[in-house]
Amino acid sequence: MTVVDETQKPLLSIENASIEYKRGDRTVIKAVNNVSIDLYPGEIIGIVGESGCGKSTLAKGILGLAELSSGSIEFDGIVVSKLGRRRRDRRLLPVQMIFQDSAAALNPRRTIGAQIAEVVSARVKHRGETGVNEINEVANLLRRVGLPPAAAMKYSHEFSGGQRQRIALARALASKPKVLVADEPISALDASAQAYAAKLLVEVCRDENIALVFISHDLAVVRAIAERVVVMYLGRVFEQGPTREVWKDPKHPYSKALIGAIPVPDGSGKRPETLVGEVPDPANAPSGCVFHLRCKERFEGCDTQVPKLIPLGGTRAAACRLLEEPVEADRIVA
Amino acid sequence: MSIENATPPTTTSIPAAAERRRMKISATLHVVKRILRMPLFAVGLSIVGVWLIVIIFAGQIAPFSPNAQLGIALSPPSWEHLFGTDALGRDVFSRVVHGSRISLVYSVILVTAAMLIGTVIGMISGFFGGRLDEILMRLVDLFFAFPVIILAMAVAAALGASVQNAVLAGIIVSWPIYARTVRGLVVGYRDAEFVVSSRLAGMGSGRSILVDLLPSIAGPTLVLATQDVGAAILLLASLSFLGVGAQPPMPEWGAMISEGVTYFSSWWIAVFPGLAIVTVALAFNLLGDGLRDMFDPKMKRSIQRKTK
Amino acid sequence: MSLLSIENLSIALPVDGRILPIVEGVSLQVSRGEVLGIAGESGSGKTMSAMAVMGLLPKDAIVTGSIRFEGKELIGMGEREFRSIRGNDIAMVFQDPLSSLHPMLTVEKQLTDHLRKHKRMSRHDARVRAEELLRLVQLPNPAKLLRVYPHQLSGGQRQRVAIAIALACEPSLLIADEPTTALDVTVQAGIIELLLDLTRKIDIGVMIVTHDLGVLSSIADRLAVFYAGGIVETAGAAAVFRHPTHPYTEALLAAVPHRDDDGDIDLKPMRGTPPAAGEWAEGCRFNPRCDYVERQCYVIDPVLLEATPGHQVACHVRGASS
Repeated sequence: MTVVDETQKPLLSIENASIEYKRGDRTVIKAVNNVSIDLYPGEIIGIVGESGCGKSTLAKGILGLAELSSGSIEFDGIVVSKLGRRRRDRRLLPVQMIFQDSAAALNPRRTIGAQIAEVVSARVKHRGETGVNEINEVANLLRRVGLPPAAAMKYSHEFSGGQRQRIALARALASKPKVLVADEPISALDASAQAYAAKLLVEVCRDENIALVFISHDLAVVRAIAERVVVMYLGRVFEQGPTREVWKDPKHPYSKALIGAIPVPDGSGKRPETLVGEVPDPANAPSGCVFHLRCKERFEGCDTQVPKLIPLGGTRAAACRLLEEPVEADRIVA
Repeated sequence: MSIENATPPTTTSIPAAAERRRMKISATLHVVKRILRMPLFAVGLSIVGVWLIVIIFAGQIAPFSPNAQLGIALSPPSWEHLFGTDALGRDVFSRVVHGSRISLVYSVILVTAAMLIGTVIGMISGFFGGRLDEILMRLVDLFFAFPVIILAMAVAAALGASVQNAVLAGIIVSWPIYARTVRGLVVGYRDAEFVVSSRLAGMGSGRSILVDLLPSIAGPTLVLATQDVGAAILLLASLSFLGVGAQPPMPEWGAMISEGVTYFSSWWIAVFPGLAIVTVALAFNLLGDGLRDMFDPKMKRSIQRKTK
Repeated sequence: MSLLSIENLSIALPVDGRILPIVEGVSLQVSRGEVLGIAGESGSGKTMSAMAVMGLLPKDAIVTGSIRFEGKELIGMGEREFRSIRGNDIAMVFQDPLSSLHPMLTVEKQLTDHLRKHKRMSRHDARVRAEELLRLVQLPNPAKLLRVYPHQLSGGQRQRVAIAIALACEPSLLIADEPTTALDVTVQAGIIELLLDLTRKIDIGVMIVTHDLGVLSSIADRLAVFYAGGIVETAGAAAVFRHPTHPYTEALLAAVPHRDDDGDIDLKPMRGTPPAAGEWAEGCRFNPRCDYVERQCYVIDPVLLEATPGHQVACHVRGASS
């Protein structure tokens, strides 16, 4: 495991970023609310949360596909600006994305070889590289993701979902990325294909020293691959820290619930723990702590006071008032 | 961590450029072959093929000059005059044959021009969006507010009655459909993940339009255009019929029908050019259906070298 | 006697002029008060088998074998007779409740229509029963919920309504196809809880089809693992999870992250991909992906044999010693 060197400069730094969008009915939704995350070179970080927690919107923000309403996202000191109709700032090209739906992420009308070669030649042009044999490089990239080079001549629909996701990875690798943002890259795949795709992604990132932002709803998968995890709920960071520690000793009641809700395939017949209620409508978020209506440990004041992210040593932090100061006050049992 | 065993790597490599080109051509041929096996498409293609021959060899096929007055007016179909003669004693068969050079050729020109103009405007509107999109689409709305035939009549009348002006009028009333359709398609594809992926990899707008967007919208647009040829023939015919299109003695099919309807008992004068219009419209519709399948990316299959 | 008893079921579908086998020689039973879990990946034939029980296979499907439900043979039954069973005695819950609920009708309308049609209830009785059903699926404030449209509900609520509709006519068998796959984990936990409670409370048989082994572990009494159109392992759920015997089951379990307590977890990918219909291997269909493969596996398709009491496995190497 890569040890994060705290003195190092972060490669990607998200600072107090908020992203808003207008819904069909004109209500403004704050999909990402004041999120700060630092990503160091070669680090694998997992962003976890249920639908509507803003993890995908945050991914878009990192890529410049969604505009920040406040805060900033910087890659290597360069401010990530919204990708308009102009060509993308070439200094941002080392930040690449892998989408959930591999079928939609590949052009169905072009051979996959043509699509990968395109990225290679774009990189060669931008960086002024010389002596690159595109064909050989495409072949190598395909081999790297466990596909025969002859696959270059085929079209995306001729592959299985798992293979397509690997092709998408090969294409992302073609631009020699430093940061890879993968939005639910394996959740659309069959169970047996998931492990392979996840492992390949991790292995490639380790080998090439690529920092990986792995976005998933599945905390169990994130636990298997990420060193650090960020738990999001309704656009806010609820808890973050080394995955193993968060898993073993979650501090935020929501993290606890999220871990407890994962059914375990061990034959014990143990029922997953239920969490009352459902994720609220972000346009109509509860006051105070947005989680308080579902929280088993809520107490006096949770419905009015917004909890701050409290540092808990190292990279750990959690946003819960239980951690603010020793609270002896009478808790209301939900 | 070892995942080497996940897929047995084959030793095959990416073929050389010439080989790749050959494979591409054979893949295309493969699709063409599959399309040709669809009976309706083949029927449409044959009809269009026959008309193409008629257009090229009109002079050889037609027994008489289209405007020659042969003395016998309003004679019903016979061996000498397959489709009979009209009120001025002209051979209807010869006129229908020569008329293909006007009706068919001009309607194809009309549709092609309308499609190109509409595609460019729709592409700009959809890709760049914003204020420009607003203005262009309101302009399109304006065109849609008028009934096509009235607008075309107005334009043709203002420019002066001639076939060329009728075609111009046709283009002016037809391009908005393409602009709107193309815009809709572009907006749909603009944020498609494969387009976004390419842009994230550093592809510029022009390249994105050329490589990702155009091929994606070409299919539906061409299908629309093909099916529009029939409508264009009808539009030109209607304009002639109303007196603002082809002028006598030009053997334009619509003009012929228009002349024919005044001689109701001599049905052959109007029926044969009418049948010509029907066959062309039908053939292009069948072609359009086939094209739709051809542009389905799932029809594309690489020609694989057998590896086992 | 079993509520549902499937014997030697085979299903084939004509595709592009070829007859493709989808399911081959499947036998399984479901009793009242029991949850049978069916595990398998896409293309394993698990959904098709469930469809066969519901009589919802494509018209041109070729079906052989026997499906007996409460003693009645379902294969070959006329559509009319089937319709009286489907929805009445056998009910179904799908992955996406939005597609099974009518978007333009209120919850009340959808619930009461069902009751009035199948049970010939009066409007008032149907309404009372509808409220009762919503309470049964643990939805708060049923009177208010009756007036809303599906799009006004959250995913979890929708799935609960879908379950309420399925239970409206007091079926004796409930078939649930990936009922929690589209839901968030915290919501999924609630649905699992509900399905379990219902099985015990109203004594119905449940057949739950899903690729999620975690869900099956917490809900199923017995398990049948499908691979390439057939069952490769079947036993009590605990036995399958604690002693996975078929190499496929073992590999599948190794490929999903476990919630064990300490140490690094390592995902063990399974090689290859599940075969599409018509591309099954000769002999044992799992042989191209199997770590234990031996010579006979390429020749003879293994049959399900009892490895230990109640634990059947179709494997030459790991199964019953032959």
